[in-house]
Amino acid sequence: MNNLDVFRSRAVEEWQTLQSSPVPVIYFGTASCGRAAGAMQVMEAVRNLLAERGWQAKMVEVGCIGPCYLEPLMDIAFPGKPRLSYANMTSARAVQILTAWFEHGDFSLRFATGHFGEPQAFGANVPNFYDLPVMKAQVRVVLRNCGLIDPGSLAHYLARDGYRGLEQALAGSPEDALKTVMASGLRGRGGAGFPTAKKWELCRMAGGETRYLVCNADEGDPGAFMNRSLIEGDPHALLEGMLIAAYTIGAQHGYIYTRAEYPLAIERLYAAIAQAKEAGLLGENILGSGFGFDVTLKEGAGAFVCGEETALLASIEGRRGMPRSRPPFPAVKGLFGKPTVINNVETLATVPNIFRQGAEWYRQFGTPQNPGTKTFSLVGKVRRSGLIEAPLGATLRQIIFDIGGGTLKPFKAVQTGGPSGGCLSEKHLDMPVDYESLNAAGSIMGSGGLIVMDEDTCVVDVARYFLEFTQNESCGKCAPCRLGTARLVEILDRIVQGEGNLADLDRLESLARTVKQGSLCGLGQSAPNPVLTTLRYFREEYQAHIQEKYCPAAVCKDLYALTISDDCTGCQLCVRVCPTGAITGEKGAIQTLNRSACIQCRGCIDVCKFNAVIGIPSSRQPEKCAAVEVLL
Amino acid sequence: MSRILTLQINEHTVQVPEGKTILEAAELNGIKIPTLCAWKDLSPFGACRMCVVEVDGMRGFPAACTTPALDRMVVRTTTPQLDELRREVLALILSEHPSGCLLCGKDSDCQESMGTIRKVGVTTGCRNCPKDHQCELQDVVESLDCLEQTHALHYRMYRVEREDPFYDRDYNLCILCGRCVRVCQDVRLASTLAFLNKGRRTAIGPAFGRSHVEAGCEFCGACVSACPTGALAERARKWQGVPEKTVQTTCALCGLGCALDVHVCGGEVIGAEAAEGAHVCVKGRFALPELLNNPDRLLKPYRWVSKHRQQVGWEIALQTAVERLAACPPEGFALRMGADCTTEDLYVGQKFTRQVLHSEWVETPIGAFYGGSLETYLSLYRYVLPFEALEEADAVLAVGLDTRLNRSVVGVSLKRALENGARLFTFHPLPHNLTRHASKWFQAQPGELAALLGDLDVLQGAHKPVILLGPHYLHTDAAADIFSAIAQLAQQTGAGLLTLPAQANLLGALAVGAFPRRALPKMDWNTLYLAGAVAMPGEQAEYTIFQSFVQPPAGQPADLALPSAAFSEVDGSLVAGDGQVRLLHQVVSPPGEALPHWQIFCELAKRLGADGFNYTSAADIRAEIGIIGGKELLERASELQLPAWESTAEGEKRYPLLPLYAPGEFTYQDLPLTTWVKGLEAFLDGRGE
Amino acid sequence: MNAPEDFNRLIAGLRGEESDLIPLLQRIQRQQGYLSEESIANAARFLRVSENEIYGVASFYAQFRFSQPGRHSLKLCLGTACHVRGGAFLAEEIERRLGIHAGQTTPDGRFDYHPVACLGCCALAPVLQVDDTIYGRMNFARLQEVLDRYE
Repeated sequence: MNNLDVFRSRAVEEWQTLQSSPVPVIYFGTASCGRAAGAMQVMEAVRNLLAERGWQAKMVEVGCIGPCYLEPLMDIAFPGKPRLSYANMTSARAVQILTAWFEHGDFSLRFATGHFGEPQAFGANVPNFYDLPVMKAQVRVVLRNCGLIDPGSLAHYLARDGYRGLEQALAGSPEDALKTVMASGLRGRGGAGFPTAKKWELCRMAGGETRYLVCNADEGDPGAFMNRSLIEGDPHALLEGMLIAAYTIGAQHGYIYTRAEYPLAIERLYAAIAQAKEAGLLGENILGSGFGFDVTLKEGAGAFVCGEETALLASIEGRRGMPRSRPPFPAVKGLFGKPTVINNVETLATVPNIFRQGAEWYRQFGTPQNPGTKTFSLVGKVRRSGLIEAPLGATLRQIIFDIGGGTLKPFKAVQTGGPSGGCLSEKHLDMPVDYESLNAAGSIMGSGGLIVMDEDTCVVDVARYFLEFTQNESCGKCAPCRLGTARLVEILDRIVQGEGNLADLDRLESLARTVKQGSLCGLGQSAPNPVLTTLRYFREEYQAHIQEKYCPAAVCKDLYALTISDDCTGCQLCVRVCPTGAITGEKGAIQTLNRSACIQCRGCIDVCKFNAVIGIPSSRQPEKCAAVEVLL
Repeated sequence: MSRILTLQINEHTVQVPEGKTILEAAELNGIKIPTLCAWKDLSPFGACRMCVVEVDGMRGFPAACTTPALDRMVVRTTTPQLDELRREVLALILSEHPSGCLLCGKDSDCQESMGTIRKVGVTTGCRNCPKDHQCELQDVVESLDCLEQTHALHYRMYRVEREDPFYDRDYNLCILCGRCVRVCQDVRLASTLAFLNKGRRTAIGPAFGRSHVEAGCEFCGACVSACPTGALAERARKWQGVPEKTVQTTCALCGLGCALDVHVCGGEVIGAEAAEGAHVCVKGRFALPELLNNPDRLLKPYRWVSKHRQQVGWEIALQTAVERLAACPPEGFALRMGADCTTEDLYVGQKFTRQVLHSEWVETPIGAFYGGSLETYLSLYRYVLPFEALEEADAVLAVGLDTRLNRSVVGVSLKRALENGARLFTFHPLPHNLTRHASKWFQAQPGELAALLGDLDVLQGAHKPVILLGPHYLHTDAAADIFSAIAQLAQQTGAGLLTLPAQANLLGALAVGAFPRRALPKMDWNTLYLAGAVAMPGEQAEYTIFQSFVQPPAGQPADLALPSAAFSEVDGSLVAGDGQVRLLHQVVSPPGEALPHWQIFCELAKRLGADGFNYTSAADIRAEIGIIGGKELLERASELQLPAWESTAEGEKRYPLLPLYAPGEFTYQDLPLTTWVKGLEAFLDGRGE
Repeated sequence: MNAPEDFNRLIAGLRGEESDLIPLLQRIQRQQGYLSEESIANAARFLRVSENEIYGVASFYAQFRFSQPGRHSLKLCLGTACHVRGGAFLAEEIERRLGIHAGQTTPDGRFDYHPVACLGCCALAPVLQVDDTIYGRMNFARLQEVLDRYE
């Protein structure tokens, strides 16, 4: 019996003790998202309550189970009962629920969202958590532990069959391991979908003794947080995946390059690495296999371009994160000039599942060309936002409407792939989400950000937003990217200010093509995608900005004015948020918005429950400076 | 022997050795691909995207400068699509580069009337860029026929940086090709320049907005040479235009003897750069135009008649000298020559003194620089290695050396050795530019150094130790002890030595015997002949012949002034500090009526009735001297028995301080460079020079 | 950070290789809030890299600052989800209320304000981070409430 078996049997015992606890076990979702929603205050309130009243209960911190719109989440496993989930928790309600149980044995089911037991465990009114619409269409492979286990506990991970995949891999040769990954058809989850096994094989074949494995956890796409959530919720899954990858390619050392903006994920990783070392899962002669591997955590310092693999390597080496041309590819000449495999967090965290359950099992999900599942951060103007996992090949409609519950106002667009991706329109809703289909539509899979937009979102503004982002995040090295994005932003600026003309649309297209074809790295080559796709699918919105001087989404400040429609009920919520006192009127009557005082901060639009604040074309006509006219 | 690959480039089948990029493969076969960021031996960068090509089997448009050439590759360097893409990227580059010089339709008409002469100055033509007509961006624009500005100019509003000596920086003209940064970091290993910020705020410069002087810049000018546009412009030749010719010669401003490409326009030297594959320091790179074209140049002979200066022709001047010399007793004559005169000058000078005037008093004022320990100093020469040995070293002792300015060339080799894993130990009482690179810095005062070197054990285990002897401790009372300690250390550890003399031709002077064989008896001369030198302090003469490239400086008495040529104006040779002979080539004719030193001696000798002075060229003289230099010369130098240098006793006291830049470092022919090359004052002020 | 022993504590565990540069700068900034000229000079001596090169690297990364920060650090997320949910309007409002622009510190030294690319709490957009605390679902009313908590 090796060391791990000892750890595991202890872990299983610990896990079972927790499951059959004679006192309530209270689970708090304290990932960053839960904390942002106030989970720590709730936890504090509960801790104080228990101490004050002398009530016995266990408190466990868990990661994010996914549906962030329900945060903060507090789950309670009352003795003898399955775990019961309460959503949108506040300190007061948490106190109320616990007090009700300790004093009256009452489960406060009216606040419960779902349970983790048999059907009907709490009667007809409380469904199983996985039967909630947000969960039902999902498949949990990578996220199987998130929100269920304490990410700070190796025992929890081991009790849920953690590191079984590693044991499987070590039982065979590295060649066998490579065959397993090849059979699974796993493709890189970082964006381009390059076959993982092929990358590993290239590195294996490269000469020399030293090889490196790098985990790219520099999740720079704004609007994406899959990696953060995964690391915060299940850090050992990543480490296990890295160990298997390292064993396969023959790497002795690994790096995890993570964003500095993710302090909790960094904390969790440090803890997990320390635990793994203690358990003999990192270091020399792992599990008696003779294979040795160590991991160093590198904190990024805030540069989106470091998600590009050659820039990431430069950053680890202590230099400016400026990409270089490939070939040579990192698999041949990478970190410190040695063969290096760079994989994304999700790719690596998927690997243990393939080894534990088998490649065939994994292939049951997804499509033949795109096997497996993919995590998405489903955010923006969607009802049920959060982190989800779905089989590849699911349609956008299934993801946005079935899982996400659709939008409040009519759906307009969905942006995939972050700043490198594109905006897809309603006509793409039945398109399967896989690498090829997204590319064909002019977008990319990217790391999995899905930003949903409704009619209050201006796509010209979104295109401008992304271009401004890439312009700032361009490393500045190659001319097309550094200068082309700047010129694109200038043209878009003109358009959103009402100064555009129709020729600008051609200019945008030709400039975008130059940047795409001419740039050195993936950042520049994909930076124009938001412009190109919005021009392709939402051209009429550009035309409205240019010809009618009107922003239909009421976003571009120069191109609309606000007014209050007949739908107003006179609730005066808007009056309270208006920072300039521009809205006036009698309570119960239709309010009046004084345009000259309005600063178009949209505070009123956000609070209005009746969509009564609407944008209309402003009376502003394009004015020519008198002096210019004289000159002309 | 590397493998030969066969590629197809534009229907041509070409062969190149393995390990080349597509760009190199094309250039080796005479196929031109436009590029702005690839330059000489700089590592491939791939930033300007001008060299995009199409390669069968490769996606998109790879850059030729970064893509390795592979066997059986099929490459197209020019297609309508590629040219279109290049033009569009170029248009983007021009969107942030003021381009009046490129796009003005009146440019050629304007050129013709630019020579207008008026009573008051008029500006004719837009001379808005110092690199007009020598700008690589202009060349690319012309070759791609990209004569339409498609984007509105975005002027970046950078302040033109003029606070540093020698060159101005107008980053509004910068295209961020990174050549200056790469040459500074990768070739010169100086890292004064770096890329700053990112995205559209990307810029170039030192840390914290410092000036180059503050940031430790060596002012080697490599960045200026590398700049394809007018962003970095050498102040001295800002509006000089394109050089008419460029001639390679050897820099005579110190004993390293670096190969120098000198640019000429209108018969004048307008600038100099490191020759292909060589390095230069601030002196070689920037001092030449101001040094050689300075208003103090002596263009014609002069004589002084009862304190009145009288310009005379050569005939009268020579006659005046001959009359004086014919009447001068042998013991009353002394010739002092600069240690940066050519070997030929020195040889003919000593021959003139000994055979024509029968005097023994010929000397080069080198004793002053070695603290009265010239002999012990010379004994070190038996350990001297060629300069190239430094890059191979695995352990280096730097004694009293700062390589920021005048020895920056040594600094480059030293840092190259450190990059290859060598360890560095420095000995210097002051913070100096090598502190950061050193494994250990021994902050030794002169009096402590000999003992410290005696007990040193850091060279143990080193296979190729090298000792670098800088100037710092040479001027102190402790010099003799230090030299002995170094000799002992070299003996014990097998270390090689690099002496880095400030004088261009110290060894040449020793080789031809331009020194007295007996002690100098007195400081009162009947006739003192100064050729490329000035009188020692306290020295008296009834009559002084001052033969130099400039007018006698203030305080230097002269009765006759004879104009001589400077090093770039003559053919000849020098023996560098490592014993190797370096040839000088005439770049321009001497100005006015100036002549080489040796030629003046010959004229005088002939008029004094002497034989054996019928040389017609420096090569004639070299043929007479025979082969000098190399190991044999070093051996001979190390065994030289020299008389006591009484005249140096004064010199010793001249330098009681320990400045970072030692005396003699910034001089040419005994005269301070700062007199004319004002830019150098930025470093030397307040530092003892 | 003036005393050499402070610096020696900072470099504990680092080997002085070039790849230690960014971790070292992060430690310096964690300790003193920004990168002073002196600290970069220390780093240059330790790593044997020129100050200019270090500055070049540091200025590439958004995390590093070269001037004294405020007592509290406001980071407004301008990720896509936050942008779509009105982050830009919140940005304007912050600048209006504090009277400073992005990257500046209030004259009283109370807040410095930096927009950041994404804090990864997109489902709770728009998001504001003050020091180490993240506030989700921000709006104008909540903004004042949050600012008032910090002195």
